[in-house]
Amino acid sequence: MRGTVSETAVERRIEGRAHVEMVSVRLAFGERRVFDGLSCGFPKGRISVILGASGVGKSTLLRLGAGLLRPDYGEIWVGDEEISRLSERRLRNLRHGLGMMFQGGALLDSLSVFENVALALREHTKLRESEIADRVHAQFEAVGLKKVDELLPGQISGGMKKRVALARAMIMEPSVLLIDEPFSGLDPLAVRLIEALLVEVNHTKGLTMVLTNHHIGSTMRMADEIVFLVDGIAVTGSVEEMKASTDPRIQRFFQAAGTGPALEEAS
Amino acid sequence: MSRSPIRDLLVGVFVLSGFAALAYLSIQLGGSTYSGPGGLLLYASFDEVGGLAARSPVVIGGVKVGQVKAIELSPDGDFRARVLMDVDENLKLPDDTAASILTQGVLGSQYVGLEPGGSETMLGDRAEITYTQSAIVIERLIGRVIQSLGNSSDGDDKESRSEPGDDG
Amino acid sequence: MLALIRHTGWRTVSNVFELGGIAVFGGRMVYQTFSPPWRLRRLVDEIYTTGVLSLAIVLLSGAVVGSVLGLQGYITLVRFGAEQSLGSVVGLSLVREFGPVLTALLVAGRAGSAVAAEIGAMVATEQLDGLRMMSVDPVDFVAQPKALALLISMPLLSALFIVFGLAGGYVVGVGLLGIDGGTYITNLETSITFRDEVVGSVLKSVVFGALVALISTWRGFTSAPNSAGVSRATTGAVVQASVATLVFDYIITALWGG
Repeated sequence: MRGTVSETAVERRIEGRAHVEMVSVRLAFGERRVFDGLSCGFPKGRISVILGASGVGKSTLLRLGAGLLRPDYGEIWVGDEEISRLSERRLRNLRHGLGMMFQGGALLDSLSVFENVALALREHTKLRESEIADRVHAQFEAVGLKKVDELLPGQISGGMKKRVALARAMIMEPSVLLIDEPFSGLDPLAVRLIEALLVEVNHTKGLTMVLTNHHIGSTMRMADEIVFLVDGIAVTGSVEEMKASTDPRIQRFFQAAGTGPALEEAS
Repeated sequence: MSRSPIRDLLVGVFVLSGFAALAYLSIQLGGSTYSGPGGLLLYASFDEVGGLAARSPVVIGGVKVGQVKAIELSPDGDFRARVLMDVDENLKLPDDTAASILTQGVLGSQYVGLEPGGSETMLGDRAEITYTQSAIVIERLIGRVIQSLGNSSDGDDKESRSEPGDDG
Repeated sequence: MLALIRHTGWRTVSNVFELGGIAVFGGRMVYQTFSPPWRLRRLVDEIYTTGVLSLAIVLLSGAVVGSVLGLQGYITLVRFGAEQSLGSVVGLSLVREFGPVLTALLVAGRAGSAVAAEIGAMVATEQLDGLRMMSVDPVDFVAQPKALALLISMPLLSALFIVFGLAGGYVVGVGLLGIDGGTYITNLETSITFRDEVVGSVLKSVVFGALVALISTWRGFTSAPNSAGVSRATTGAVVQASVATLVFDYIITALWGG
């Protein structure tokens, strides 16, 4: 029941524009239809932000891109590989090039911060302990963490957890970074700090980044491409295109986002 | 869960004591002086084996030295019960050893007691023990007591046909 | 009425599918046990959590159960004048049944529930997905060490339960009720054989260990990713592991003791 490649998708891949691509994806949870023929692309080396109302499926889309969920129909391309039909083992190989930051950090709470970040290195490389320590500490520096090695995830703040999660996602030098709600649970100052960090990572390493976000302000500042989810499909465009959009659904969303709690983020 | 030497020590202690407990159960309890089947095989025929069954113990002077392996009707056609016993292979039993079927306590389980004799020749593998004493069956005893009570009230001093047993 | 039949049919079929799933799950863990990486460090940590931390309740229960057996056994045997056989009564009961079965039930309640809860919580907080994204198989990293630890701990705990139970019976029978100590021990030693009793007991505890290990980890892995799901997984693990233990106890007793 998988779909065939559409022409636009082929074009875009050949041009090298889209690093991660969804083609005619359909997904339902029981009776609930989440995606109904959704197609979109996340351009290489850019920051793409998935926007939409609560519960519309932002995190679900991200998980599809990570291979953690499989669509009922359609294709999911990461680079040159179509991943929706890969076996778990093949997926595991592929994931060396993918890094993911989860909403709550998803750090292993029985391991120290150092061990959490070092895990991938210990499992997949034969580096000596001293080398591993060097790399882990370099990552800590890159994300702005100091002296956290022996702490347990339960002992650090939300903002620090996000940084550790970023360090962990980056340690294997992926080419794609998937980030689920990087700003959830953070105060406005922390939001700015994390935002700056992510932008810096994108600029220095040229990583393709895909975020789900419900903070309009940071989205407007960060996004190269906005993927707006509504009615089971995606409408994509740059920040300007979105602001100027005549689609009533988009207008409604951005208007509503202009008032209420999201207002503080827009400052 | 950071590395904790105390934890490792406790795990070590736990595993060692667990194995020690297993060893105790296996060797001290399970083994004793009898290490298992595969020893010296001996036959003995009885008129009556009572409640004796396979795996009933074979005992010398109160010490378990083997177990009953099988009980069947004697192939000699004399309608006796032939018991096959599996005892410690290191035993050197004289060929005038006696085998009796005894009971633990009054109502306990039955076992074979061996009383070594004084002969110079030893019993070999699959040898037959000639001196045997059958089991006492409680029901027969009671029957005989009732019978003898009835007889003595008749004034008769009939000798009751007694089993070559000790307790009455 | 029709709905009830349909529902029963559905439950049966889905249970069969679940059996298949759990069998594959178990097979994977067995395969992973014998293939590198060995994760010795994690195994030792898990043996601490499942085995060492269960010692208190297992040893205490063993001593108490042994004492009760001693008391009950004496009361019953003294009526036949057979109280000197107390050693064998206590010993056989503990080695054959109470040791492996009660230990399994206690461990299922204490360690099995903890394992299911911990894994379930990891599902709910996306930690297992985090592992997948780091190209690590969560079954290999999380479930297998826990399952193996439970499997190893069970026979050890069972043996310790029995030993403490025998001691409890001794204290009550010899210390309190005046049975001769030497007779108690001799009776004990003669009535327990290696091949029949001890091997059967260890076999049971290993099987029960496998059941608790498999069911606890499976329930954790398949729990719904929310607090209600974790709670269901935990209680489900205890109940299913306990029932499975009792059922297999019957099966093994019937096959082995005959």
